[in-house]
Amino acid sequence: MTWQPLIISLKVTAVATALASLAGLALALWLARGRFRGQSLVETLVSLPLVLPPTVVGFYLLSALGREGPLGRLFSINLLFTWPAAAIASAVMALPLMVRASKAAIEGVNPEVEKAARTLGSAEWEVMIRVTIPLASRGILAGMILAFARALGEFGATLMVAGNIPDKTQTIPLAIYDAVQLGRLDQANALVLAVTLVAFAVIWSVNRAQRGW
Amino acid sequence: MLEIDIAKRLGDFHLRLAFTAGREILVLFGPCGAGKSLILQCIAGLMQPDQGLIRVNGQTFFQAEGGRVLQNVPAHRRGIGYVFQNYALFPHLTVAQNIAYGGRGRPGLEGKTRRLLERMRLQGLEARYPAQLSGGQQQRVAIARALMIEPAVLLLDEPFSALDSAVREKLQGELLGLQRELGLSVIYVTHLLADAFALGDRMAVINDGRLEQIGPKQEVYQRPATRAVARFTGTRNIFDGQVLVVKGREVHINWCGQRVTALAEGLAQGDQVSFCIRPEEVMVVRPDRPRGDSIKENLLSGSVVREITRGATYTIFFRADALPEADYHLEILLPSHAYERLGLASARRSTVSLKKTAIHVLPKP
Repeated sequence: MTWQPLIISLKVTAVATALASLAGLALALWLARGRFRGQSLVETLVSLPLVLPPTVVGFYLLSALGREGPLGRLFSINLLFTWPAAAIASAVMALPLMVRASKAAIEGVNPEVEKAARTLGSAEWEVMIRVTIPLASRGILAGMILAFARALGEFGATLMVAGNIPDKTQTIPLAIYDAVQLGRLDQANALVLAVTLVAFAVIWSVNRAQRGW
Repeated sequence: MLEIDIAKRLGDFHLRLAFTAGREILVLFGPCGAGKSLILQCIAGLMQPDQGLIRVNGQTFFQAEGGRVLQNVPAHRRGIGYVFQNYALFPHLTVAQNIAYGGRGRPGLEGKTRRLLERMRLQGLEARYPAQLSGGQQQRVAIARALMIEPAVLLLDEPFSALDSAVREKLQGELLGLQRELGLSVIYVTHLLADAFALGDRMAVINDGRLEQIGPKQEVYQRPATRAVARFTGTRNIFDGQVLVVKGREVHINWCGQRVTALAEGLAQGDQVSFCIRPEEVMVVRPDRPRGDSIKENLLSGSVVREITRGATYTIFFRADALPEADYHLEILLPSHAYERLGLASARRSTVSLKKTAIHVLPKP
């Protein structure tokens, strides 16, 4: 019985949620408030992981992250088959959910209120931080929960880029699959229970926090 | 002192106008969609004109010529107070936080917020959120918030249109007091004539992106320059005719075969003219009394077609016998007591007089 998959999963999910949230929020602000050429192209690209089979996304990432890929060359490190690769894969899979939810929330912010902030001396970045983001916070938080959920359950793309190396890159979903394949039902039961508890605790505390507002 | 001379094209709509405003309340009055709010947005820097000049107290906020923008100060550095149509309060901030927003990071913010709360009679509501306020309270918060930045120019976009009349009158009085006290230039947009009259020193009538007329409100009201102004300021009776004779200041106009005498200058025989008379200026002649000289002018006999009452007043629709067949020719506004004394309800035949001093000949066709 080992708890390594739980620790790896928490690590991967936390980093992936953080990455997807930051990148997703920036993209959502840009897409919701900007007017530029190729806007719908960017939106379609960002949404693709939602529709493509995870293994296809994993395959793209495999080429991008490898030593010969653009990212691998840029940083001259090989991320493949390490837990950061799993985190990146999960973040890419979670990104569209974050972007969609927060973009809708940002678009729902009354533009008159943003204009009011401008007449009261706020430059664009300050309008964003003081007005737009606080007013869209519920939708942004919902996007983060969805991103977290997607990252926690990520299987296919992670398997492609990070493999299934016990104690290194084996996350809970992969470990559960392995355990079932090997007939180790006690291990599977424990991990299923653990991941259910984590998911329940996160969603429950977010809901509690939101009700307090 | 605000100077503006701008042009802006938005699809089919073309805004093109110029005016100046001193330390006064200038009302921009006109129908919905005339471009009034667009003007405010250009002044505040929320919308960029295609060309022209916007200057406040000698400082150029915007200047563009021949498609080249020479100067464009962004909205957050213009320091112009703006009260939005639906107030646009920050829903996530309390009343006090809303008011303090414009002065954030400045010394003495707390005291200033308190003074504005008191000035706008908002004590006790500091900790409330905008959603917990009435319309009139939200409006006062919006004004207090705009005053926090100590603007030289305060712009108000239909500020009272969503309020009931009692609250509206009270707020109008307060705004008037504020303007006098702080020496502000207030530009006030409305499509309601009553609001325009309650507040303005001067009135600019805007129609379809153009300035139809600007001047003291009484002058605009009594001597509209164009048909559109006459219509917007409530003159229902606008007619076309041709000048028959000019005798000094007196002109005789052929109105569909009826001779009408009016006072006007700069007209010649044969000119096509438009003239108008306000509904409240039409006199109904009492049948039982000998007529005085003043109401012998431009007599028309005919019949009352129908009437509408609004409590204190009656609007009567009058058809003249001598004019070509129509549903009615004149709209007449009477106080209720006059309506009852004249016995119009029963005697539907009557005679009206269009005093020549009450007839206004429009300078432009």
